Amino acid sequence: MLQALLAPAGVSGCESDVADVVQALWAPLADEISLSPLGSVHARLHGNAAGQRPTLMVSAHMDSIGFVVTGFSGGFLRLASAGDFDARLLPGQPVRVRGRRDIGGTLLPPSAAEPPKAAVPVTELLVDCGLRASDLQDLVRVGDAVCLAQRPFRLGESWWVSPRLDNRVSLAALTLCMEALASERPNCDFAAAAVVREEMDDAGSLTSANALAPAAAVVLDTTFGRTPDLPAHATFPLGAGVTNAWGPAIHPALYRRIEHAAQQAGIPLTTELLPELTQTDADHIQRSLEGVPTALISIPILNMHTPVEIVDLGDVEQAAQLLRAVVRQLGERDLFEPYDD
Amino acid sequence: MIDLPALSSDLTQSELQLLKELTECVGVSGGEGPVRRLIRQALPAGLDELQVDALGNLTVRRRGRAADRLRVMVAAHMDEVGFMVVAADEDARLRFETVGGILESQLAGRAVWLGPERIPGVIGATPPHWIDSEAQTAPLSARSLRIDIGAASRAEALARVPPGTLGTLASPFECQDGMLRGKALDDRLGVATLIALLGPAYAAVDLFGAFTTQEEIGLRGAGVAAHRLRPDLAIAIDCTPARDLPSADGEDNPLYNARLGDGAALYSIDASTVSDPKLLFLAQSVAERLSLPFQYRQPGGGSTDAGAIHRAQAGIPSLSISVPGRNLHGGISTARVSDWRAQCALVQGMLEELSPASWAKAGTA
Repeated sequence: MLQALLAPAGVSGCESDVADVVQALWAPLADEISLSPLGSVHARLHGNAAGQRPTLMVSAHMDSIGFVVTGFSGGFLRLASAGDFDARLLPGQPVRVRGRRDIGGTLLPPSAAEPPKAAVPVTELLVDCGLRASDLQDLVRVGDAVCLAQRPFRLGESWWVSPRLDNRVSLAALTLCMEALASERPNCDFAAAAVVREEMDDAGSLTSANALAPAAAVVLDTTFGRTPDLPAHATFPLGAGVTNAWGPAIHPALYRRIEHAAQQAGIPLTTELLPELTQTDADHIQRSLEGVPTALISIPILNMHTPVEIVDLGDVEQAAQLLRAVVRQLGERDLFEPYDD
Repeated sequence: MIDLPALSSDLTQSELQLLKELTECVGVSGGEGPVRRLIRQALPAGLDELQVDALGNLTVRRRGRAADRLRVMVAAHMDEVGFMVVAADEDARLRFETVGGILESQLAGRAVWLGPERIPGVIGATPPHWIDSEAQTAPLSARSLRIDIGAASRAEALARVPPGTLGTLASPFECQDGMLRGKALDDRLGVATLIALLGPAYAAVDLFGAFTTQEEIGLRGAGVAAHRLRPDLAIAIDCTPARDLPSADGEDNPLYNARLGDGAALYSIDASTVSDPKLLFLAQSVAERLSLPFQYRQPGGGSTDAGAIHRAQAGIPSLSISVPGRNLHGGISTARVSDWRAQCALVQGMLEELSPASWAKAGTA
């Protein structure tokens, strides 16, 4: 299932390929499924309780960082980035151009007498597809998406590598949870949202929250794996479980309920401190409509926003189990508590 | 009617007490609970619909006397800039990250308050003897600084101040010779103004008081409050950085925003809002009629809750009215009592003048 989710490019703003995969996975599990006007997938599982049921929204973005073709320079393509890259890593990276058919290419810096002293900005890089200019222009149009071509592979027993782990691993966890919920219904309605454009702006998550009008929301995303060059308090070892965010974007009661559910179910959980915003969809969903109590559960990955993101599959399973435990607990009572002082 | 002692530059005993409590509590963005508790205690009787929403905004309604009434939202933000403790080092000193636009250059060598209980701490600094002159002039960043709380071990430090604790610089409130000095004048002065405005019932206005959250990290609370309250119009009461100090060469500073002592500052345009022209005109005419000092804040940068409110629902006509203050995002700031009184009296005058009929035929000239 993860491999099916990792295959489509899903470049931010051009997500229809990954939306097709998500719809195919979710349609057998949901009571209602639809595509939003902006291209996000919404799947609703009805709860058990009779009458009016509050909705718990669980949201994971399905887009990935990538590029968009901005023009031609002879037989080469020029690009703009869709999402945040370290431009120093890009020269020599293999890419796939999503033209009238998929075309392989390589990102290269322009020719120069001397090696450049600073990183070449994305807008100055060229895509070399090895094609003649006229053939290239038949196959590619300005606005076509370009994605990193690194194929997924396994590393050791439980690690996986791919440029699209952010955030397909969360969609995998959400799908695992929905498989369980299809038979063990919670009391509340469960609305899964695979949203567009997280790597660009707030348009995907904000409009999905507006459409689903949830009583509370849990966002699933990725966070920074532990490496020696980053501060220990802001990074999390792979294989040690997921994180529960704390900060202004998080509703305190929902945070505590997630902590409680993890304790009850014996699932390891670490608090991730985010003193300002989370830089995830949680920031936008929280301030939608009249305000939505929002929490954020994150799966640690190494090398985020590089072609070789790494995840421990055990953490993806943990995320699914935690979400299931949270939903089960939330369903037991009228979960959506007022802000406490 | 609240008592307006002709814009007295002295504070009454109860005003002094309220401003002291409001400014000395720790209410950093995302952790406004201590401010909210104080407001609950200080609110006058006779209010309806007290509500705390999913972002922690506290809203109340003061119904007017007439049958036909305008819905007017007045917003003041509860939160202040500060920092969050995120970890402890082996030597028992705390690491922290800033919240909101606190001036990092004003953190070293300062006492701090940590958490709602205001546990004391110190942000230390290297003795100048150990600094070579080149490094000394480079600005200090928060990531290079640590907080000492007198703990003997890392475990003790973590037990006393758990990661996630919010803190501010420790700045006791003072009032002397008509000057207010303390931390979080931005926007606890507005909070105190709004508490006073909620006292009387207005003729043809239902006043919706919104004590908002997370203004300092992107105007995040006010928008959802406005979405729920659906006001006909809104006034954000805030503090504006005056920036009215002379420049280094002693010449007049052409970059000032507003001047301390020149009265309430009216906004025509800032980085997030174009003020509603009818509301701006109303503010001017009320100020002139009541002989209240006012000034125009220089157009340009900066934002208030109006930036989020005017974009809510189908759009809400909005205006910001601020008290000018110096060093508002440093740990200690200065404002004048007379400017604060002018803000309160001006908004009160507007609330008395507004009605569905007067708003329908309000013009800009």
